[in-house]
Amino acid sequence: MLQNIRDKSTGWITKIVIGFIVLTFALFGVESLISLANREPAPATVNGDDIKQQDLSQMVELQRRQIYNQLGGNVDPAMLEENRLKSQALDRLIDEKLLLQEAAKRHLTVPDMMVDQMIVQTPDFQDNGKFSQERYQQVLSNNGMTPLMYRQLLQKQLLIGQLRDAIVGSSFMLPSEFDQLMALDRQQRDIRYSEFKVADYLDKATPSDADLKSYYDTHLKTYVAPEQVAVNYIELSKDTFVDQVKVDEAALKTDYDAAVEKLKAQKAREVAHILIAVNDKRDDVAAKARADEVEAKLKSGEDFSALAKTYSDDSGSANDGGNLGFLEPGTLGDSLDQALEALQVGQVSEPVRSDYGYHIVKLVSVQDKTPPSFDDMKASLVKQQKDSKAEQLFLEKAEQMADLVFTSSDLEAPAKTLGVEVKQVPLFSRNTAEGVVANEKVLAKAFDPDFINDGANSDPIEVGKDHVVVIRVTDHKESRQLALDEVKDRVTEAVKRQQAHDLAVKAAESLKAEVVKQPDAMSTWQQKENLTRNAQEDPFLVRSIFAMPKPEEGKPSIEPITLMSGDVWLVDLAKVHAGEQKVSDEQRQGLASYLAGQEGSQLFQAFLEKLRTSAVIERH
Amino acid sequence: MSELRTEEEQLELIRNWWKENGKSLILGVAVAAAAVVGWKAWQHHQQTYYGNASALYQGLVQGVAAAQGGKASNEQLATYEHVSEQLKKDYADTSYARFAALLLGKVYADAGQLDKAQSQLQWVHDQESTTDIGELAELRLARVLFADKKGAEALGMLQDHGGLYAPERAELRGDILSLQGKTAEARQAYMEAQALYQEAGRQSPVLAMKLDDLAVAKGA
Repeated sequence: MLQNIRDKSTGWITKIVIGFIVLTFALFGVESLISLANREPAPATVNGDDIKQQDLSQMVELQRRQIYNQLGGNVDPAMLEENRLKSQALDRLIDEKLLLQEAAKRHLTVPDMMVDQMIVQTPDFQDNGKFSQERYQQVLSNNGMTPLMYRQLLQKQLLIGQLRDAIVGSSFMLPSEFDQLMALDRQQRDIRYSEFKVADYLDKATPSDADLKSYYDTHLKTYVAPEQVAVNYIELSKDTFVDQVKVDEAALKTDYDAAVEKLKAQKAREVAHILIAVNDKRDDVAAKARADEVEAKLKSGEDFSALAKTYSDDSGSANDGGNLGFLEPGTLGDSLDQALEALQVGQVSEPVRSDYGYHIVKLVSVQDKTPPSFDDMKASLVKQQKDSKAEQLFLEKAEQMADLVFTSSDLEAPAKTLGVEVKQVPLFSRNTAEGVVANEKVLAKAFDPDFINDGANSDPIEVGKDHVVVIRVTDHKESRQLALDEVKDRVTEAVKRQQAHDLAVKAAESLKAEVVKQPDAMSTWQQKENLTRNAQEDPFLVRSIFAMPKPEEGKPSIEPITLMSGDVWLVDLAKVHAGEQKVSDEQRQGLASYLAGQEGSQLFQAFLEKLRTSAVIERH
Repeated sequence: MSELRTEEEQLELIRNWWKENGKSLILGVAVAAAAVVGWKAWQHHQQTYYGNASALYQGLVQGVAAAQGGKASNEQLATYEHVSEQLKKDYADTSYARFAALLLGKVYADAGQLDKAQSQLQWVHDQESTTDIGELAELRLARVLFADKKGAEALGMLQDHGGLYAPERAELRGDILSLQGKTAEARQAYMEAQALYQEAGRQSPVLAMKLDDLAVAKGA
């Protein structure tokens, strides 16, 4: 074999092959060969370009964070569902990839220098308005990123930004276009009208059986009985135990003593201090020396407030004799609390070190709280004790309940053991559920097809704090098509309304014919003037009025319009006129640049959509 | 190949082989090395070339964005013009030169200098007439022409030739025809635009309003 190679290595083909290998290594490194052999399946491929699993995980994480940041605590768990997040993240990555490919096709390039500039200018990385390397690294590591990752991210963003700017950033709106749009949007219309109410025609509507049948046949979906279940349930709640537990008088006394002890420890002290700060300008030793100097002056009888004014670096209190007011223990930190603990009222401490520097503290006064008497506190102590006992009992019972319902083939036995009753809820649908069964978790369980099939007890379902229920389905009715006979009343009502509406339209049409022939025939028009596109009127009415042809000399514009309520108006569009156009220059500029931006975004979206549709995208 | 040779014989063989092939081998390696170096240098050159254009463009974008919310002063316009000219001169074949011209089209349109806006947009369209960016320039050029009371010229550019922005072009045609008082033709153009938007799965926020405004009586 080797001999063969050696024999043939004189051939020019071999030389080319060797040259090719050399070139590959030189240009793309060893990785190019290794990565060919060993790779994870990519979640998606865009025009032959892989999207990396790692990028997908990162994007999912990013989206999760964004959702949390936007919605805080009230996140709908469905929004954080892994598959959903993943598919959204993948969509974003695919769009990103498409745009990056387009950027590459156009030779868009972001030099390192531009990325540097961007980093240095980011306010998040600045300290006192200046870029701080320390801060930069900290922010990155808080977000789980290395500098290299961040640079790549920025680079991508800048590339896509350049492409976007080319389309969106260059959009404009010309004054004549703005005027045209404004004139359209602010146009006003005056109408005359005559009303034809459905209610007035109901008596004349007499549907035949054939009418009912045909209406029913075309509206089958309206007449469906929803799926229903009936359940039995047992429940445990802490509240029911509160009245059952007995109060232990001796324990009450102990609780009282503990409470009094706690109150004593919490007594507020009025404190004054002189702070000698340790900062950029003064190191620990210098601060200590200065603090000792103040202490010496105090010892020699100088006034604390005067010294506070001269020496204290706590500008908030210095002018006030160093007074910090009444503070509860724990406010000032351990070292100061300890120092204060040792002082009598009026005494001053030695210099004490805290995070800020050296303090000399003075105990000005102590607020003496007389603890409430046992009788005063008794009610709340009893409540506390009952609560905690009830909670304990509840937890025990709930655990017992979980075991019992798992092993029982009905609810009666567990109910008996637990001393609760089995409650029954007759057939209900998802929409008519009330009380405990209306709870979302209970509802989901009650209508879970597997659960219904099993006919077993559910696990305990937590419906509130310290409140659990166990349900069992006792009856189930599938949703079904209702027969015409069952819903005859409803169908009749609907058909009557429809026929009454048709009659109203007919009456409107015949009035229209009369008016067109003889414009003065109608003397009892009602009127509305200066209607705008967002007038507070029936939305069907407004939309229709603005879609009516404009009246011309000898050619009135009259049409019957059906309102949302089903009533009909015969509308004569009397006049179309320009609305008020009082837009200040400033408003005008703001609005125009907003509209231009909107327009640009739309064109960019269209551009992206085209990239999507003309790309070969495989999702794995 | 089990024949045994003395070391000397083997050495002799290698020497002969070298004599025969040494030159071409060295040449091969040298060529490969030169190719690599050349490729890298070319890549570097490309990188620098596009990178410089990119930096110029980015500066322009930031300048325009910062000055947003007011007409550009003559001094600012001169600066923008200068950067754009440099891109057109030294980096004419880059997308950045075109992007810059598009941006200048906007700046001039905002400043009310419609003729200058036209020439910028026209330049972009001359460079690349069939791409999406070229089409974008064409659409905007037609808008500026229309605003500059050259409706006929604008209409000439807006004939249907498909493409990404075909719906917008049809809508603009409707605007122009409507202003010219050719209501029926304008309606026709708007309806065409509506169909094109639908086909592309998009919609124009104001097209329905424009179409309603030209409504004709039912059955007419």
